[in-house]
Amino acid sequence: MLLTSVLSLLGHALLVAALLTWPVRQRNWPRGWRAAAAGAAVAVAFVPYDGVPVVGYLRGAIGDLSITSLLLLAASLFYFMTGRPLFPPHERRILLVAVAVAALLLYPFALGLTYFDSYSLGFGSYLMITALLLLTLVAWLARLWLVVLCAVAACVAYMAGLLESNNLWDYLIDPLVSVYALFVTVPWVMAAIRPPRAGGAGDTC
Amino acid sequence: MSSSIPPVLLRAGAVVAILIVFAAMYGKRLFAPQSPEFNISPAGERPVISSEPRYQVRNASHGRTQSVHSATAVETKSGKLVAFWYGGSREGARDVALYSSTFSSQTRQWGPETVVLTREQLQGQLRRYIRKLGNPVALRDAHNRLWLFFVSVSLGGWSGSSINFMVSDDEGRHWSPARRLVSSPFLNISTLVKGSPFLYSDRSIGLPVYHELFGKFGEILRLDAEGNVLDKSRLSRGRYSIQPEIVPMSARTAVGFMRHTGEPPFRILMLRTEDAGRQWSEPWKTDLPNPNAAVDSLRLDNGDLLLVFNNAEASRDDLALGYSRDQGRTWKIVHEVEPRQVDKGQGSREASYPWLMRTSDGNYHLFYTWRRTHIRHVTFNQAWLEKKR
Repeated sequence: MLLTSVLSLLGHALLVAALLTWPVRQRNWPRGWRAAAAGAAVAVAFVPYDGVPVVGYLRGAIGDLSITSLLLLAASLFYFMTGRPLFPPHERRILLVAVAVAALLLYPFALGLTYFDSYSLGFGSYLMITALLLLTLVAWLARLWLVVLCAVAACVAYMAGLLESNNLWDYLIDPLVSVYALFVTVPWVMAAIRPPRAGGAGDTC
Repeated sequence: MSSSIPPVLLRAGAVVAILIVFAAMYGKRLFAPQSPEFNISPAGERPVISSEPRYQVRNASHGRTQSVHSATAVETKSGKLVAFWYGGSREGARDVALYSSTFSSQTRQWGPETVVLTREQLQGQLRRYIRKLGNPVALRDAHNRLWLFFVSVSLGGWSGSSINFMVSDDEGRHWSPARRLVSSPFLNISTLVKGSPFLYSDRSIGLPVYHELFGKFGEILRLDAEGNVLDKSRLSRGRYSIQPEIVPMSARTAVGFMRHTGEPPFRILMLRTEDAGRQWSEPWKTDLPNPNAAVDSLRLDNGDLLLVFNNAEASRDDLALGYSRDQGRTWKIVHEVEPRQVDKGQGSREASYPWLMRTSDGNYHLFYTWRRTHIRHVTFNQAWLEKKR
């Protein structure tokens, strides 16, 4: 089996495991139970239906997951199994903001509304590589290791051709993580720009 | 004794790793193939097989499947014609497969239809669910290998399509496992093929594609010899133009034709580039009608153009052959390949999805879907065309 297929199907297995373990995240289960639940969820992802495993249907429907998605899913399962976050919450939050901004730069132009196509920059343009380098250096200066890890891992995977795509964008973001990032980022942005209410919380008329 | 690495060293190591990775990224970009020109093979001397005008009509398919559509063809090294199309119980059905047939130059007949690829085979090769198969297009590359690009859908209708390809080193007898082309960041859906692929001067492949999910517009994917996407350029924007057919006219000039899906008047769209496809003109409406149907075009050795199209705004019932001496500015209809039928009472009269090509013996070959039941094959020679134009 091609390495691209292995990585893609494993990524979708992580997605299935993250979704299936979501309802029991708040339960106070011992670590062994949690590991067993995660393992069972991954096994479910490879159960065949009509000759195609569950992950095959997911891959057919949504294609390969980006390296960012894979890292976030792995971190999520790590947290489920150990109770310890792999990365500080503020780093995860900043990464999601960066993903949301990238999604806004990418997807509207991919619809064909304009002649400008930001997706074509991902086929190795100097502009995109330089922008990503600057972003990574800023993240390094700010000690945002999750952002640095995602950027560097995406570049390494891109050069090694670990996904089917030859486009750097597909290694950085995908529609799944973009929708999630926009979903969680918009309320943060709204809260940040909303003017503070007159009077404190304890004020009475 | 503490074994932990001092934070300052970790930070220094991290920045070194960042710089190494990005240096490699710049290096990869630096050595990537740059924007080439179009490959215009010199016309050379064509063998004159016959000075008598010749025009023949055959069926390339023999009714093995109830429905057939979207033919493409390529010439083998030995001069045989191989045609491909998709067929099944109906368009979009789960039993649709890619079929092929070979034309024997000795018997002047098409051989039996053989299955090239089924939905189930593609599913196994791509390791994912596949719902249906669609349009194929064929190409002989600069290394003399045959390529078959084709559409597949996993979810939804044709707007959920993706493009796949297979390569053959033995003139189509065996094919490599299919690979998926990634051409869109939207779940890699809504990209289809219909127009003829072409070659660039650096041996890379130009693949005209189109999208039809939110926008309906055309693009060109440039592929290397391994099928990796090197670049893509946009041919149009908005929601009115699909199925680009690109005809290189010189190393830096090309014209394009597109199916019109927009507002009336319904006309064939044309576009043009003067810089080997780095920039394309906005598509403009020609005087030729287009009933939301595919067209195909071919550049002749003298630089004139042939165009096959449905000569009506409302239906695909007829098929005409147009001739232009001025790179598509004006057209003369030289032949009605499928004349318009007056009687409408006998089911579909569709004549559509033309594929026009010329073989090394100088003959012209036109393939098209005939009433969705057969793939029709029309052959004509230079003498016939001279007489008609």
